[in-house]
Amino acid sequence: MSTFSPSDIISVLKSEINDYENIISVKETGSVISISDGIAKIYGLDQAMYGELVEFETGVRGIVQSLELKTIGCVLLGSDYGLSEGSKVFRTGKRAGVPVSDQLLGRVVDALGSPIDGKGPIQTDAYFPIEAEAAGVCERKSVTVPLQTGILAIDAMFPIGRGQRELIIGDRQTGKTSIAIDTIINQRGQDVICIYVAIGQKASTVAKIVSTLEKSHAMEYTIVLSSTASDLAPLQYIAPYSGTAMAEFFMQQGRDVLIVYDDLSKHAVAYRTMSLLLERSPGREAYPGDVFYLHSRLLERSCRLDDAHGGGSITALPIIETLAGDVSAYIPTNVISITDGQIFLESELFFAGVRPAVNVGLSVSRVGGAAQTKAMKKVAGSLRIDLAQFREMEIFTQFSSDLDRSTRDLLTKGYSLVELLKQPLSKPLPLHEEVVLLCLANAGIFQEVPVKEIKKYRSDLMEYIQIHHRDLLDELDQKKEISDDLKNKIIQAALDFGGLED
Amino acid sequence: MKEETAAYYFAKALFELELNPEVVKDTLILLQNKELIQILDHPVMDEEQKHSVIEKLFPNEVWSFVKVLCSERRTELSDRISSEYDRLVLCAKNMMRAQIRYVSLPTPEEIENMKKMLAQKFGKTEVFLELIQDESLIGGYEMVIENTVYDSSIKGTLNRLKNALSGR
Repeated sequence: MSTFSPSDIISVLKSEINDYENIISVKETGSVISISDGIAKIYGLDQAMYGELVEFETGVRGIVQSLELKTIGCVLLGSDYGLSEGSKVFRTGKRAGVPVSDQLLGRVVDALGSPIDGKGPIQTDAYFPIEAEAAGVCERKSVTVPLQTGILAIDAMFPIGRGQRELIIGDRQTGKTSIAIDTIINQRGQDVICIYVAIGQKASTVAKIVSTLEKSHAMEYTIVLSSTASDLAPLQYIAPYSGTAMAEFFMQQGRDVLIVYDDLSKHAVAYRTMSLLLERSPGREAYPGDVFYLHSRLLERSCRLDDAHGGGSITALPIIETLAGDVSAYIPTNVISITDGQIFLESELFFAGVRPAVNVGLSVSRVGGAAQTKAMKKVAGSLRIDLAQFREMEIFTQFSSDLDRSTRDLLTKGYSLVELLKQPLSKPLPLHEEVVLLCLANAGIFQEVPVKEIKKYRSDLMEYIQIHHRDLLDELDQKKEISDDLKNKIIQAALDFGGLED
Repeated sequence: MKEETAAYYFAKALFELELNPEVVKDTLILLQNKELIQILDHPVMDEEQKHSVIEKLFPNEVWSFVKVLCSERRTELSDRISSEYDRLVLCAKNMMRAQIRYVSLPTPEEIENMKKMLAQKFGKTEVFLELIQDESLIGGYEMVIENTVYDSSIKGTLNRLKNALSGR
């Protein structure tokens, strides 16, 4: 840590004081009429704008959230200690924003961008408004570059492209956050900046995530923005917007950003709390009428800019928690309709040991296909249909013992595919490994292996290929394509590895 | 409707009735009497009894206004209505009020200069100054006109210097 001598400090103070201009300050003021639950009603401030930052006499700041004839409603961004009826409030003329800079990388910050990891202050370059207009139609480019999650089931069946918004949805304890964290871990060396926004989470959960990211050396390119369950509802409400403002700072420099909103269900709840306290009319499930706009304006800011605007992108992975697998509830349907696809995680699959517990039938990626590498597209072509057929047949045949050969083959293939798609936590796979595994699965290599042994067989086989056929993997990494010749070589390598005849 | 909004609408209606401002002001002052509010808001007393009280206490030109206020149970708004009404009357007469907080009392000459300067700046025919002593300012003045504060006090200067040094 750098140290300052007292003389340095005195000289800085002297120059600041000498340069200081004493002018009459003109401030628009109002006074607090009532204050409760983080919401203040203010009389006066006739000229205040919606979304403007106001400052209370104690130094606490707030955001204007409702404008009425003689009063304004304002949400507090800090403690209401020392504020009472009659306390003065001043306009700042600024919209709420967060300080941004490259120094945010590797740091844990709160919803206002202040560091909370005890690693000292952050030098900031600019101030970005938390509410900004999304890029226009002409500024955008279609999604063509893949964002590898390192999760075989997702990269193969529901590919995500840079600039896409892919929802992760599922009940509690189904591995939603794990998918997001694994995706962040897999961005190491991919030149992608990651922002993890925790909304209404337990502080212990956030601490665990930070330590996982640190262990995986992922914090170097990650910002964790935390607004925990103990924070005021307004802070939880602005957290995803603050995270997006930070993401926009990097996107405007032409960089690719991945942002995870964990989770938007709690965000909607925080907004409902705030809206009810602001006396807005409650609608369905007591959410205010603009709860759709709340998420649509947030997710619309994720996009891929064209080359004239730097070519940066923001890929969003919003997370939604469902209750008893009900995807037709209010907030899930809203966010499903806003995003470019969803990965639906199922409790039943999770507890049956299928992890990640992706429901193949209900999951979809609407734009990611265009971003998939040619190699992956070729080997993953029929995977989704095969799995869907398997699930259907599995239910249909569970009480039947006498099955014909084709059905038995379909089931065997299905079981081997399910086993193949199982993946442990924090172990993302590189692209070449994903392609090789799927290529071999298509060739029926894994069908010959007993299901219980697939895991070991797979790791031994990959180790063998890495040692003896490194050239095949390098070719895949370079070309990102799989020719018939390369495919045959990979199958031959697996056959050479042996173990199948036993 | 919010109390502030309701007070504004009552004041505006009262102003548009073009009643004698002195009578209206006296009425609104009388309506701030707590015992009278208790009677007019009493849930057991019927409307007729309340109206007879109103007719005995108030001049007949404001009867209907007070009766409406009473039946709408908005008598507690009288102080807010009073300040809104005062603002509307002053605005119509092209006059304004300003508040000056000071540490040491300005001389009559300085006060007169201030009035002239404000009248000229805001295009008003007359300015009513309210002078309040406030030791916390340390020195200088603070002027409040409607919602705007013009601060040239030492306290304000120190605060601004503090904010500049802390980078806020």
